[in-house]
Amino acid sequence: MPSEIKNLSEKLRKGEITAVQLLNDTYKTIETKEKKINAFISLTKEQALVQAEAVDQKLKNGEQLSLLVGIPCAIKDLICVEGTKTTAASKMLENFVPPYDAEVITRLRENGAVFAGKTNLDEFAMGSSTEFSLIGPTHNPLDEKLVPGGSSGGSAAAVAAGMVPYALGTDTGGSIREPASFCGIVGFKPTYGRISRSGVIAYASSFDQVGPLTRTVEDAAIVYEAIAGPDPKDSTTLSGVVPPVSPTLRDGVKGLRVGVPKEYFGEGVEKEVAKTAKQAIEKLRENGAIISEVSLPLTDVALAVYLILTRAEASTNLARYDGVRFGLRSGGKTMEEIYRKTRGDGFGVEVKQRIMLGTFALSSGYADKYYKQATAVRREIAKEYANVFEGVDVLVGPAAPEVAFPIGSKTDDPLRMYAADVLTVPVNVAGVPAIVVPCGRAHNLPVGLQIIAAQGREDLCFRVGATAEANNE
Amino acid sequence: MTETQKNTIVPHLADLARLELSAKEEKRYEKDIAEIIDYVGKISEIEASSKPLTTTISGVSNVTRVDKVEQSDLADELLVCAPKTRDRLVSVPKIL
Repeated sequence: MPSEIKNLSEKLRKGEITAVQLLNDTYKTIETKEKKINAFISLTKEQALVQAEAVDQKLKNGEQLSLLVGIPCAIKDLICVEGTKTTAASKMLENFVPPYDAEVITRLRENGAVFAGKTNLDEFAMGSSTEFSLIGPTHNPLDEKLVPGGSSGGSAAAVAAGMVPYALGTDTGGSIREPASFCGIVGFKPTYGRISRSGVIAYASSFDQVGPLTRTVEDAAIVYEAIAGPDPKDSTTLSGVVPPVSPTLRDGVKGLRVGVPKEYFGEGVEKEVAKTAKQAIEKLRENGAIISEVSLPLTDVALAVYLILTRAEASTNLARYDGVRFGLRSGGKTMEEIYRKTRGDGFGVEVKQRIMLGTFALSSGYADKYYKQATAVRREIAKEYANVFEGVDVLVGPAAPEVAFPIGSKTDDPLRMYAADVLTVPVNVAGVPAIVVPCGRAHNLPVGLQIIAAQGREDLCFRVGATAEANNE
Repeated sequence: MTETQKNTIVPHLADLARLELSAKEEKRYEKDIAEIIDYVGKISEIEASSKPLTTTISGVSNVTRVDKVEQSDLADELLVCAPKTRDRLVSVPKIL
């Protein structure tokens, strides 16, 4: 599929459209569709106009400019953009305005990007449906009775609805990939540490990663290359130059070894979804890939490991919301009252539950059995992936065990909700990169094909993803 | 975990986590939290060593830098974020 970013970039360079016109068109589209979709928490019109005007000036001066210059994008409201409300979709940060940019935002600014607005998410990135939010649910652009997936549902919906050509999301257990699958677009999560988390509101620090949501694989590659790379402000970032992914994008899959884990097609995966994914894998075989069945037995415990570790890390990360230095403050007679009332008031139902579970996993008498054991099993899961990648180049399977489900259908049943991420979660546990590419439909709704590679091999995700995308045209 | 432990765990966890919950919330959480704790218990069936403790999966560890003092001009802007201030200080109820 041709890159939309390149197409818009060319139009801007040739003077066929100005950045300000492009921005106005973007807002027109957003305004037409927003009532039905509810993708945005806030539109950053003033800032965006200033950015677009600066771009038009640069274009007039004939400066050499990056591909992303002048192109409007949307940012998940978990990522700090200086001077704009960054709420995490939570009452706790309802009026929080960060005085600094996240590093990924700084890099996009350096590339001349224009930020059209901040998108809806599940509160503090905790959810798989973008229903647990201060502003209510985002609706799937393909069917407004359905969820767009989560937690980056606002970003996914904004891209799927044609409002912006790309958006940033974050992915801790599938929060970019599952909405990409549900909305029929491309979503990418890099190797853990590939993209800086500085300025990204933390959920689970050893799982969180920023990534792009786009309508084409090439666009995801362009955005990824613009924001990836080490950052001294985030010491978990991987050092060294980021290997480019664009040069091998169109190399095809001839001779590539593609592993199909039998656990990714288990009982929990809906029949039609499995069928659609299998058909997409067959097409890769026709393209010359060497397909083989593999096994990842620890897939069965990956969700449990993930539930323990992310909740433990979240309980620590969310301890900072205490009503003292920023965010909501409720109650005021004593410090204890401020802590308890602020946190009782400011956090939503799902967030409080996760904090308590995390507290449990780390508490005296249970930490060994739950937290420590989970870290040990995590290492085994990572080893299992590393071993399988000795024999194959990528793993493929459906990104989600089902298609987009109706709004409100899972909000009362946490374990059923978490099951939506059963195929994406192991990837974060192992810290490896994965892309999701639309590969067909089931029950007339999008199915995403997930392509996973070894740590550091983002190039393989994009290369196989581009082929799968071409097969789906 | 015994049934009694399960029934008292929510108030205990809410206390540890400094969360004020309504009686209705406590009831709701009792069931959900017990279910999830039950579900995640399956990890004990896996043989795995927790030594050394793995806290990150990318292999990055102990990243250090030179202890160099840098100027930050964010102090006043950060104060704007505080719920209550006085002079250039964050104001809170007295602790002692």
